Amino acid sequence: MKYIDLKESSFLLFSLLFSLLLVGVSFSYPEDSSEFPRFLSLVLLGLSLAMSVASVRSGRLKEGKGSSFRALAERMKIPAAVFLGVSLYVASIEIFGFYSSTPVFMAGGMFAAGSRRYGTIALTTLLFLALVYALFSYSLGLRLPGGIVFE
Amino acid sequence: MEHILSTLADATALLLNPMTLILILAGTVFGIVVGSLPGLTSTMGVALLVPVTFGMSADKGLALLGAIYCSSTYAGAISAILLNIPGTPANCCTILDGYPMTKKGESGRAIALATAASAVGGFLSIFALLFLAPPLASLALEFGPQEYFLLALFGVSIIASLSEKNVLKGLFAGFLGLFLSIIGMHPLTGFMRFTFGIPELYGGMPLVLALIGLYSIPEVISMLGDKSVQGATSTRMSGGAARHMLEIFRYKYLTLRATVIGVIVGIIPGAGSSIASFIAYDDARKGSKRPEEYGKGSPEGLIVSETANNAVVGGSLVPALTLGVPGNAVSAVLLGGLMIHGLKPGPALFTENAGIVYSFILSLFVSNLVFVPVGLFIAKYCVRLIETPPAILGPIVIGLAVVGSLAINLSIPEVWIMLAIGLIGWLMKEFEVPREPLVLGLVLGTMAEGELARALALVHGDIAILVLNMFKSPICLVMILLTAWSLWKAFRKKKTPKA
Repeated sequence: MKYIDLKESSFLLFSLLFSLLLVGVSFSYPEDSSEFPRFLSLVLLGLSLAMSVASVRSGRLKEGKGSSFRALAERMKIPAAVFLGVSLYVASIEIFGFYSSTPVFMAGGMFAAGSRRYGTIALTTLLFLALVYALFSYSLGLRLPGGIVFE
Repeated sequence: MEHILSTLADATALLLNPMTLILILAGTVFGIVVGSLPGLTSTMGVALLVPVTFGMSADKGLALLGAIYCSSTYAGAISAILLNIPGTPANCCTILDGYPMTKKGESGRAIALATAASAVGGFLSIFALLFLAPPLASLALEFGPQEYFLLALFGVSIIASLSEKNVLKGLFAGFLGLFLSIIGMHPLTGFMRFTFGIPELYGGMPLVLALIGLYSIPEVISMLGDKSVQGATSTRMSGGAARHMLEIFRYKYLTLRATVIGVIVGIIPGAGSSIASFIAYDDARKGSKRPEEYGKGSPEGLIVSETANNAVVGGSLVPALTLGVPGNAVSAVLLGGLMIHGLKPGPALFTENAGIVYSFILSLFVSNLVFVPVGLFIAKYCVRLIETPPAILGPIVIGLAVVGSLAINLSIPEVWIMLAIGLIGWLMKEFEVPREPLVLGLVLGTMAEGELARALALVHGDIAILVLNMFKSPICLVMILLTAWSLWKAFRKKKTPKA
């Protein structure tokens, strides 16, 4: 039984919807300020349609690679964890500051990624903070966010 | 002749001052650190140290800034080769073959070749600056809005040929890049487009943020997910660097061509190192006997991209010093440094302040020599990065990405923008859409729309007259022919099945 290649069909659907959205927004702007966006959005729409036609004609949609939902869900675990982790890190920088949040993120991130060498984790975190301080704060004079801890 | 010789003698005396040489070394080390860290650019490195030169004499201050410029442009290749993350926008093309060489266990060879190529490109471009500045400067003056627009179009045509595996996906990425570049204010009317009320986007999509997001986040995800990456073999550089560097002489004609392309593109104000390296890469691939190796760890691809981007250094200084028109952002900052020291760029610079100017140019020669041993020394330790377990390296890369994004404007929303671009980059990698065309589109887009709008304004919106004017300009005709040839070759290659 042949499966529809979920990855390829998702990409084609996404590119089509995205291009349509861009066309809609571009054409809502005044004409004299949106000639180039209108042109680009129409080209993107055309390319999306061309890719869809090319995929159907070449049979790529029926190749069935990475086609099961379970396989795709499995592949999404690490990206989801990375994006969630980084988002929490950035949100915590806003609240607690860079030098408070970074050790937690670095140590937690290394632990979550599978490292169990606590000495290496601690040393790496310290060296990273030292490098950032020396290069960015001391040499370049950048005041990284202090948050509620260091403000 | 006597006057020139005595001027060069004065300049050499200024250069050989021990303090000047120490400053060149310090600038080189600083430039390599700045260039190799994603998020920090050559422009930033030079700009940050301009105030440091206030208390120095002009020749010493300019020698320091010039050393940073040369070394930071080269150093971005280190992270591009080892981590698949370009250190500066100039090194976007380097990842196409640099990182595949690392995956093949040839990281040492790749860094040695990149170092040699950068030194050669930079060195030869300074010769062009020294001896050909006045005639080359007149070329910069010939570029008007329609020439710039066609240069951007030619760049877009390269997108098609960069995306060998799937031309349509490559073009989609390229036009997406063009689209991202027009976020923000219209160049003439000032109308805000696609900003959705985010103030950080009013000035457009920051290129450095896009680079960091596009390459660092997806690479960390790959690192953590791909078991085969763990324990990747490294290559020891000791004893092998010199041998690998000498390999560049096997590609001398290629190197020379890439240098010429880099110098010419550098002369064109606003064109930039990334455009030069892509053009040189595309040119080399089309003329290569083994084009199928490009993108898979070809030393040719690595050499031409690094030669071209460093050749832009000399080229960008041609209009900057002779006309006061900077070739790119870094040379604009250098001009600022020049003026702070009381030197006025223009034709008179070479007569009224000949000693200092020639000392500066000679210091660039020295910088291109100094960064070779310094870069190889630093890279010898950086190579060990790839032996670091992904569980340790991943969070470090993300930390650097976040701090690099913060370093631009100390703005947290920009870090969120970087993360959003990271999501786009990851999706592109998942869906096998090449990212390099998007970067090229992002670089070209601002130029394309702005210059098209200006060109149309000059002919009162009459497209017919604009097209007619294009055919009257020799530079435009060359661009049109190059674009047509580039597109024809790209699509012809797709139709011709490989044996």
